[in-house]
Amino acid sequence: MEKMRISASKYTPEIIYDPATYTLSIEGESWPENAFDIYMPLLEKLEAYFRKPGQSLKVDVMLDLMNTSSRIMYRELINLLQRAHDEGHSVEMKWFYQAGDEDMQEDWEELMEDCSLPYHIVEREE
Amino acid sequence: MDMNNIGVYSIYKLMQDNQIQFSYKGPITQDILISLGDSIKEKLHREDCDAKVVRKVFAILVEAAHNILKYSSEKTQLDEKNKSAGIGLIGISKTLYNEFAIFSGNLVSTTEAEEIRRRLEHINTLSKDELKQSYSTQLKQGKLSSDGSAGLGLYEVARKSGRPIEFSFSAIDDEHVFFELKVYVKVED
Repeated sequence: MEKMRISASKYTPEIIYDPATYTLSIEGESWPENAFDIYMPLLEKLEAYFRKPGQSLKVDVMLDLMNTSSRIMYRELINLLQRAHDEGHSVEMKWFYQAGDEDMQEDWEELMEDCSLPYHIVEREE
Repeated sequence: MDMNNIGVYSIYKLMQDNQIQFSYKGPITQDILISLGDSIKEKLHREDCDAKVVRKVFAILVEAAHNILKYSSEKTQLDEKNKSAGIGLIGISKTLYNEFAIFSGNLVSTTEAEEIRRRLEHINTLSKDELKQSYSTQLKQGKLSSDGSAGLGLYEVARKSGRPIEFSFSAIDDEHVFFELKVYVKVED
């Protein structure tokens, strides 16, 4: 399984996915006109990763801004991870938001509603 | 039109009287949004505006701008890969009631205008909780679309604003309607 590393731009986050260390980390702003193009390659890699039984993955996501198009893709990411969890893979998620950014905190809480996989929503101090 | 007749002062006065913080008319591209975003954030931070409010204002501006980029019926061809960008107007002003008004305007087809009107009228009838419920139901059911927004943008805007979205349509010709949108955010949260 190969590593994936996409640098941040002004409107897309840095994405580092490394199966060797069982980690996925995403950090930055996310407001592309079409988030499908940005996140689809990652989702495809994760699908492939979880085809092998007994995988584990730690996911850290820190976003400053998320547009609607991105939110649809994060919903897809959560669905994918929830399925992996249901199939017996070990998945752990941490959602970070900037200190005082209650909108983003609520966004994560809403996105995780009805999910049973382990997750934490963490306020990050400046 | 005679170039000498461009009333620059009238534009200046209009912006001054309406406390327009900035306004842009033209093709909407990501590059334009990046530079607008940087200057708005810098300006609002300088005015000691709450970081949370700045994020909200910019988030709404992005949704409004992306609507123009994708759905304006007036388009221009960009160089790269035959991509096109919608043309429209976006801006931010301050109201007398200590609010920011994020405004946008662009041409849409007469049939699209009806669809947008129906959606906005519906959104404006929803309470805060209904808006949240309706939004997350649509998000859960939302089919993966390569278009990327699935009509959710206006819900997002309404939720961020917390007060009804103002909109109007004016007929331009048989096929085109000018669509105006105004979204308000309190300067202090």
